[in-house]
Amino acid sequence: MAEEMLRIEGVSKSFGPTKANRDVNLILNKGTVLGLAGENGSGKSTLASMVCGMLKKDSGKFYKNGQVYNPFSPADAAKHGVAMVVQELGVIGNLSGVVNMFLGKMDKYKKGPLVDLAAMNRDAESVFEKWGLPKVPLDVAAGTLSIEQRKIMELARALITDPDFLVLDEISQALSQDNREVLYAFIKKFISLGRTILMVTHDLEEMVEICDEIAVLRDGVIVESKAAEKYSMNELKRLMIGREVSGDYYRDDWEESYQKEVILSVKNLNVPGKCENISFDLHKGEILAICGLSDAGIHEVGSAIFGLEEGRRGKVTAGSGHKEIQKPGDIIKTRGAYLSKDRDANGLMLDASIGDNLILPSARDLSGKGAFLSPVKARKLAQRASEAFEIKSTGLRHIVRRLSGGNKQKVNLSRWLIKDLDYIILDCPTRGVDIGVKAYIYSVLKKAKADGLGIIMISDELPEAMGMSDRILVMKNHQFAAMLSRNTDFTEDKIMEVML
Amino acid sequence: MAAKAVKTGADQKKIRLRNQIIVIGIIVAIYVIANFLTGGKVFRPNNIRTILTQVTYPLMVGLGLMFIFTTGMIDLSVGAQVILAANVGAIAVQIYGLGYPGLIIGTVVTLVITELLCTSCSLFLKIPSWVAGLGCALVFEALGMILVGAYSETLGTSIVYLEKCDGFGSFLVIFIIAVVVAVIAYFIFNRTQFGYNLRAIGGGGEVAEAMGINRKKTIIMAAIIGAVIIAIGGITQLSYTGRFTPTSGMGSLSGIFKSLAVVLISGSFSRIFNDVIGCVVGAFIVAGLFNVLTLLGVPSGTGQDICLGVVVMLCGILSALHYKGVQK
Amino acid sequence: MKLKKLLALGTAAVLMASSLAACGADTSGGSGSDSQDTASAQSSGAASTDGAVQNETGAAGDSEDGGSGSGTGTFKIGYNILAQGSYALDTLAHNQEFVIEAFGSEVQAISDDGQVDKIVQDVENMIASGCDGLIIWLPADNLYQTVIDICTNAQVPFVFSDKLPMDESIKEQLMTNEYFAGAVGPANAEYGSLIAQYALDQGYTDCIISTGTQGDPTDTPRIEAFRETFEAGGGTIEQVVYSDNQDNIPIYVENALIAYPDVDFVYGTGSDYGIGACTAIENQGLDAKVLTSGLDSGALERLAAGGPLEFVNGDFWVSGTLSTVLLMNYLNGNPIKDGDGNPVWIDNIMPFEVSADQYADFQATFVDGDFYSADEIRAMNGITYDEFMNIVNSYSLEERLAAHQ
Repeated sequence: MAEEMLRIEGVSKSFGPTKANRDVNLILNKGTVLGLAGENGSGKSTLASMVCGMLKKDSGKFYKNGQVYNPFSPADAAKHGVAMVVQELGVIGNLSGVVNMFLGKMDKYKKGPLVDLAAMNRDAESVFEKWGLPKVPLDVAAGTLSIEQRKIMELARALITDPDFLVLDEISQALSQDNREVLYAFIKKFISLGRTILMVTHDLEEMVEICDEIAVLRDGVIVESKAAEKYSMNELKRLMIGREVSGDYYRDDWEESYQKEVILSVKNLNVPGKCENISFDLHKGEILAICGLSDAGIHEVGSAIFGLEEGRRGKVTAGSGHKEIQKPGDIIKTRGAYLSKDRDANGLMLDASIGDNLILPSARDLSGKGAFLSPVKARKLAQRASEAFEIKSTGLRHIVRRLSGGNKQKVNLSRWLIKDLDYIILDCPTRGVDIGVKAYIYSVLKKAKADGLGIIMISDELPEAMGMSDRILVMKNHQFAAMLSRNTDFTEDKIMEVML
Repeated sequence: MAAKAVKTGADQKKIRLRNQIIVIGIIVAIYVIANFLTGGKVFRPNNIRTILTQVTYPLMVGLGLMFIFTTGMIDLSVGAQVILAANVGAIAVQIYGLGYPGLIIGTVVTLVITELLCTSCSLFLKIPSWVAGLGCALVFEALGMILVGAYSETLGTSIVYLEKCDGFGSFLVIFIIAVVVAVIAYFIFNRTQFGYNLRAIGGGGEVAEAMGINRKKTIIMAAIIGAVIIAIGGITQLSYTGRFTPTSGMGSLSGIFKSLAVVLISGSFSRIFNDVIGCVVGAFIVAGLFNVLTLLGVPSGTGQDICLGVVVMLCGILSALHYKGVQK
Repeated sequence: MKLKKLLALGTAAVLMASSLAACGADTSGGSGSDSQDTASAQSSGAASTDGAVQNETGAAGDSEDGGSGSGTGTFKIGYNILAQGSYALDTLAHNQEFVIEAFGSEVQAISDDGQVDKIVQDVENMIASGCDGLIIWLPADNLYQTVIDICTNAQVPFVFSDKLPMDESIKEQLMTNEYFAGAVGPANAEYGSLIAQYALDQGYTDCIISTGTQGDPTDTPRIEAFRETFEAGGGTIEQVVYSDNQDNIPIYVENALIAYPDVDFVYGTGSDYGIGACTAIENQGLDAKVLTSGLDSGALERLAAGGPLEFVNGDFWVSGTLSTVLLMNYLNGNPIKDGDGNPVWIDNIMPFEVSADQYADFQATFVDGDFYSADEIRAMNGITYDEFMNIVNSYSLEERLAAHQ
């Protein structure tokens, strides 16, 4: 008989008229991983946040180790052995990694009026060592770390209090393949000590592989909860979405298919310490994926093409006129676009409305004489984008920050795709979105490809790269490793072989 | 792991050190050139003493503002507060004969109360801090007028001169006080749990709260510490110049514009210097600038203000050089 | 939490109440340079017998005499003050209020919050609040026409106190304006030239000038006249130090003294600048002297104490007194006009010097008391142009000290 760690009894939570969770009942046993599956907005993060003390439940009860557990803050949850790595809890960019790790937990490091930084550093190092986490520079401002490094640091921060219950919300989405392996090893080690993990992930394959049990949430209600091995993939999808999902949302052809015309040409792209001598051509109607391990430099290639990386050398030209791209404005002028991996920090205006976000890239086109922006035209464009991409909201005035991850990405993507572009660079376009939105984004990309759009898709997910692209540029150690063709080379083994 | 994409701590420290040396080198070079141009007047002991004295007020008020601003509270009533508080201190000495205790307690307590009032208005009534600050500034200015007017000994007099207990304004004392305040501020800001909490609140309030940091308590604490530091600056300045003139119609803002420039310069140098050190550097730039420009015959009020504006922008440009703001 | 909110609300209420109290309080004070005046006058023509414009407004204006002849009515008189905190502006305001109250009328003071451009709005507000007459302090030539039009259209009598328009066409226009009751201001240029002459007489050759913002209408003529006289006499002005904020005066002057430590004196165009220069000289341990205009107690105390301050002159802002007398006479049906029918226009009230040994008497008569008694003021009701000019011409320290003995 498994020993119970956390019991969730009749928990409900509403935000105004929206019922995020309704009468949720779950039991999480010691030494197990329970996965929460569900679409964006199904209430997974709300439930996880309540368990962590970030949100207060409206009704119901939590029991931890048989005792009533009613956390009023994350710090209080930590006192009860509950820690979390959740979407909402980022890092504080202006503070060093080590200070981030010990924020709110510095009492034991007080030396008179001061704080013993050396002791904090030692303890932080020991956490990384104890759990086998890859090293992250902790003495630099956390804002200068990559998303991946930040996530690992957040995981280490959660482990500082030596919790016996851990909530992991969308952590693996930020990680590349090799670091996902590290994460899985950590999870095994953690639960082997009789501890428990509540895991939220959109990667259903990962969920089935890692979790012992999976609970499916739909519209705030648990619609199924059983052992992971008892689910088929199709059943899981159906339960999440509430209808049958056709088996495969990727392309169903296995041939490179694009036009001859080159719309973006990259020659000997170099950014010191980030990427070296990268060259390729992007054709009209082509989806070119760029893949590699976490330190391979794939994300830097995207931002370097866009003109954001300092010390960039090499030549990037666009269109038949071979107009050179040196700075972000050149991309826009050559009918291109770039979507960063970190959509919250570098993509969206989070505190602006959906409408404002949607019209921003088209503001110049919408402006008439005297730079007057017609409100009628602007509203029509925003409405068209919102409807075409099925953005779920209360209207165009809905503040973007309040949208789910999937809908945020829809806003981010739609405002560019609604323009008449020649090419687009997408860095992890399906990061943090659920299966439904993912399928939708893929269908949009397939249509855009058919319409002649050239797409560079930088991806941490091999299935996505293989499923959608015509060619895959594999990078290793910041350098070009191979260009693989959809015609012959698209097997996971072959790609991994090149990557490693 | 993507360690290569991010410079290690040692690398970053090296770059910071290099940049710090460059900035300090530029400042020293400017002083040396100015000394040459003024026929050696800048480095005369007398002038060095003057610069070190004039650095103190913008430095201390700048440090106090830094504590307050770091919480996200843009309190523009500080100029009015310091006028009101310093006049309370002066009245305690001149009218009631309370001596140094009266000067210190009167000024510090008044400033702490006024700063807490302003902070509370913003924090608990959820008014944007700059709105609360502007509102409070008008009120504090008016209170300063009424207070000083009430204690005027003759018709119309609206200034209380500090003629006794002005020992804090003499050269070495004022400078030592400023150094001690800066050192204490450095340790509070950079080496204490409160300092980390404060910077965490400034860096991301919601995240900090989720980490168990009491946001309101931290902001209140920052307001108190900032107010005490500003009050010390006010006491020394009152002792040095002998008066704080009440103003109205937001005239008090001009009294702290050098300190605001210090905070701006510190912010501009945030990638090169620690914030407190940035304030010290900023104070030397601001006070030194006015001193050197006067020695060079640049007209005050116009030419000198243009130079200060240009310098603030140059500091920002210098600090942002080679930084494209890419976040990953 | 509720308690905190209540406390915060309470605090806000207290702040608001005190704010309103502050707004409602009589304004008296300000910042800026001082403006001096002294007796000396020009006279022309004979007394006017024209009747005043009938008072048609007046919330409190129960003009008992019907606005004709030289009776005494109760009026609501408005005046503006640039800002509070300056001895000069405060004293000017006090002098105006003293006359208004001596005439048994009501005062409506309004602060311009330190903004010259706001004066236009404040004039409109005073008219809207029912003032029967206005005493206007306006240090910007470009605003005179606007203000004159506002008062004329509203049919509200007005005088200019301390600051006068320099544009001759404005002056000509005012001479025929039926609502204009007169203007009295100091001989600003004379202030500068008198101090320059004093400095030359002492054998001083080098100086620094400490003054307010550039272009100030009071300080600029003083500086120009000082420069003209001092340089003509062989003196050198090493630097003009402009201070944007009164508390910065000693700091800026100190910097200038480091550049020119051998100057003989600092000329403070107003007492604030003189006092600030004293602090700077003391901080630097120099022997330089301070010569300044502005008869405020702070300056005079320093003069009596024997520090760097060596010379102080001023007219104790008598313009406020005299201009208000003109307005009150006008409202009482006795517009004071010269033989040509022109209203009074005095822009050359000369300053007098107060020496250290005169300080005690000066303080008793001017600072601690009122240099014209209420009876003397009331006796000015119904006077003729000649009588008025006689008062102006005879005004001096000695005359006032004698009157109080």
